[in-house]
Amino acid sequence: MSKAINGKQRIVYFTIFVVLFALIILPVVTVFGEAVIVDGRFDFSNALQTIGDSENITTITNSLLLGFLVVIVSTVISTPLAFLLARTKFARWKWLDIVLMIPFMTPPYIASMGWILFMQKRGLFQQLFPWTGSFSENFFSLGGLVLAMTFNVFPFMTTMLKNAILNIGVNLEESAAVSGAGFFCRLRKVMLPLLTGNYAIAMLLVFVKVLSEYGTPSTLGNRIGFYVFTTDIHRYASTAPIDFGKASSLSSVLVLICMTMWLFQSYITSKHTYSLVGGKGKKESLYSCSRAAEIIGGVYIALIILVSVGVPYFSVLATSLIKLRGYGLAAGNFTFQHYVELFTKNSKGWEALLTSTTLAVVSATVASVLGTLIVVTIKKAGKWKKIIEGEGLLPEMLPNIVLVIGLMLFWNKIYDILPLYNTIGFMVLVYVVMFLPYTIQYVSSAYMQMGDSLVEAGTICGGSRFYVMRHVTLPLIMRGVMQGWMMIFIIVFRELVAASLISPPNVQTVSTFIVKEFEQGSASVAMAMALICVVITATLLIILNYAVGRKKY
Amino acid sequence: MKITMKHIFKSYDKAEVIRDLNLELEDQAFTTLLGPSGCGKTTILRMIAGLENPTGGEIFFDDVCVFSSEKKINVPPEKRNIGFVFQDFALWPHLSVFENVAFGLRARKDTADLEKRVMEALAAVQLSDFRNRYPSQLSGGQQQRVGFARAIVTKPDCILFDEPLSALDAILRDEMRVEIKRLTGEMGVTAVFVTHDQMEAMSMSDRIIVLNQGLIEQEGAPEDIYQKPATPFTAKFIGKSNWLGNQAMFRPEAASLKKTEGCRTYPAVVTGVQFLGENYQLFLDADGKQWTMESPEKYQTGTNVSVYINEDKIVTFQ
Ligand SMILES: Nc1ncnc2c1ncn2[C@@H]1O[C@H](COP(=O)(O)OP(=O)(O)OP(=O)(O)O)[C@@H](O)[C@H]1O
Ligand SMILES: [Mg+2]
Repeated sequence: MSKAINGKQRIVYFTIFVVLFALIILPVVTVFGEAVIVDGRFDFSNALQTIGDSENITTITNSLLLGFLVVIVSTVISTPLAFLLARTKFARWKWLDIVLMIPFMTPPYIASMGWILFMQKRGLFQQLFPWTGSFSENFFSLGGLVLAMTFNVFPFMTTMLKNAILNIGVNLEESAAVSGAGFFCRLRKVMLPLLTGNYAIAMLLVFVKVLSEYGTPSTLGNRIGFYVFTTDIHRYASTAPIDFGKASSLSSVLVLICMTMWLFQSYITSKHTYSLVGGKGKKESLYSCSRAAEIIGGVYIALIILVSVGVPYFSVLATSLIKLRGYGLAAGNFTFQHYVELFTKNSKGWEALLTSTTLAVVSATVASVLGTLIVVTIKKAGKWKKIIEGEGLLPEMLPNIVLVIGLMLFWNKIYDILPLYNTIGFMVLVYVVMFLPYTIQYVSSAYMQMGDSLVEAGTICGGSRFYVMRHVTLPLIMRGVMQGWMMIFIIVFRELVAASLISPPNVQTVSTFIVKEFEQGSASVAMAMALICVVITATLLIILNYAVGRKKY
Repeated sequence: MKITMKHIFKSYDKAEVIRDLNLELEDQAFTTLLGPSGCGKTTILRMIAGLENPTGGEIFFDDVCVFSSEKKINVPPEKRNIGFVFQDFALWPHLSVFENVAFGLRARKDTADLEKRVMEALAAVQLSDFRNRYPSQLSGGQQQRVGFARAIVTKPDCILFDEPLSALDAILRDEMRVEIKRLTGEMGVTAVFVTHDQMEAMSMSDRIIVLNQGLIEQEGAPEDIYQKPATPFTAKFIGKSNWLGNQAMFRPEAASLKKTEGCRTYPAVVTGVQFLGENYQLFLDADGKQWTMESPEKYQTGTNVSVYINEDKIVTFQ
């Protein structure tokens, strides 16, 4: 139904545009404004001064160095893994895909705490392997930080590379083999050239992720005195003397870097257009490997899982069950007391769980409703659709911490008009803005799959627009909406950056509770909470998968 | 119901797809729109249904104007009371067969005897036993039947078919042809059928409208269109045509290799033979022109023959 856009529709589109503009664009603009406007005048000297400050130069170089190293190590780890999972018999073990997503789904601050508890002096590692002496303490260095972050993000890269390899039909390789190319020659002449673009994209995205990441740098990085963008921005915005000017200047630089990377990424994506999606090339196709190669591959996969999943989770679990940490992993030194303590010692643990649950439910619901309405409304909006989608998806490209800073500044400024700042309501607003892209993406893709003719068939059969919406469109996109809702719930439930910056006084969420207990030395209580948090989110994910899988269509 | 389209124009963005189309679809007749891909058949159907708005012109259902760009009339699809059978079936995957068919009645709040009417429609397409299945549990042909049941259950005045058979295999297609023809005949609805398959058009239609680039090339009964094509385009597009120069042609049946009185004679060389079962198909070279015809006898390639063509059956274009 390509009707010309009429006046009424235009008003609706414009309204959505304005609302999103106020919610998303203005706060970002405020960040830049705060950085370069001093006493009502443009003044770049302050911003330049902040950036040129030797301490901040260190921060910037630290961030870039960290990003660079994590990208390299992730690539090294992911490459063999992606090949193993795409082209050997391990491809048939679907559960590996799920296990490998665990590190990615684990909140980074919890994983880092696990690592710290494992590697620190008199930590679990030294208890398990006393003969290694103080070897494990070497972890508290740049190298350790790189490893901790790598083990968190590498599944992202592995998945991207694996899918890219699967997309290269084996017929391309077979034809090379028939032409007389050996395995390594094929790798060099066929696979790698076809994968270059995917590598570049994956590396850029990992780089952006690392620069935007706050959890690991704030737990492990701060401990070893390695400061990066996010931790410095956080410090300027939350610790006296608070200096939003400096926070904004650093944020602006961070945004500029990330945006450049995104642009670069989309440029490569558009350039990298080998048409590989021929229907027939995609039969399952495995290399025939020697027994030895298979064993080596298996050991490699096991090792990766052991380190990336096993270590942090073992550490979290063990710590949460240890009675007295001085005695370590000894029979009789285990207890559920910390779990009990969590809920009985004072009401803080309960309250944190309750707050996080409420926040997650409300934010996920608001974002889902809003996002779905937007997607459904702008379906036929032509160029408006592009603009509004661009606005709505922008938060995904921005580091969360920058978005939070922007919203803080903006809502602070309009506090007299709308006194939302410093309330739970403001937290909901921040989360809705932050995670709106999830709903938009899930719902859009459900919508795309649906096709126009189902809706057209509904109107032809005599359904009014509203009737068709309720009985055809909504049921069919419901799965996308639910997936978006669940993802938002899970992420908000244990989100750290926003929670630590904008929680109203005396309000704790699960994440700030964990961090606080951890920092105050009650690691066991913190880990008990962490485990509960992980169990809740994992349960939800399983329920979601089950519910989605059960549908007949 | 008679459908009339007057001076219809349609363009997408800048590209003009239909220009000044005048079309009459007779009451209770089975009319086929036939034309090459991209000539605008789907667009015409969708404009009748109200899924697409013409850039200019008027559409009437009997005497009722349902669209007029001048008078600013535009009856939305849900008020036009038509049935539409989609090429890709467009069944709702989340509803059972029964609910798919019942949708139109429920949407119109016309639920008296719902069960009975839906089951009647399903019985008409022989799917009574499948009422509780979901579309994904049906074969292509069964899905198509559900689509058809859905279109007839509301007793529309007119049913539009957009290449409904193109997703089916040859045998199913034959079966469905007969069934669609029978059911629309029994219901006495105006049927508009879109296809680019000339066999389908000829075997089903009361009337064929041949379209080319958004314009009507010719309209008439299938026999007329086949035997008296009005333009070289129609002659080439429908059936096999053998050309005598640029402006005269004959159909293969008009030619014979037996000496016949009152016929024109042309010398030709056999360049190929195919066995068709009943007959042989011969490929001939007549002084540089490529012809084809059928013959009960086999000829060797390279044989010189005389072709006798019934003068009355030669069609000439000016
Ligand atoms: N939504 C659209 N936007 C732009 N151009 C369109 C659109 N729909 C159709 N067209 C163009 O209009 C012309 C007619 O399209 P239409 O679908 O009516 O052809 P058709 O006769 O049904 O062809 P087919 O036999 O392939 O289905 C085509 O040139 C097509 O490219
Ligand atoms: Mg078509």
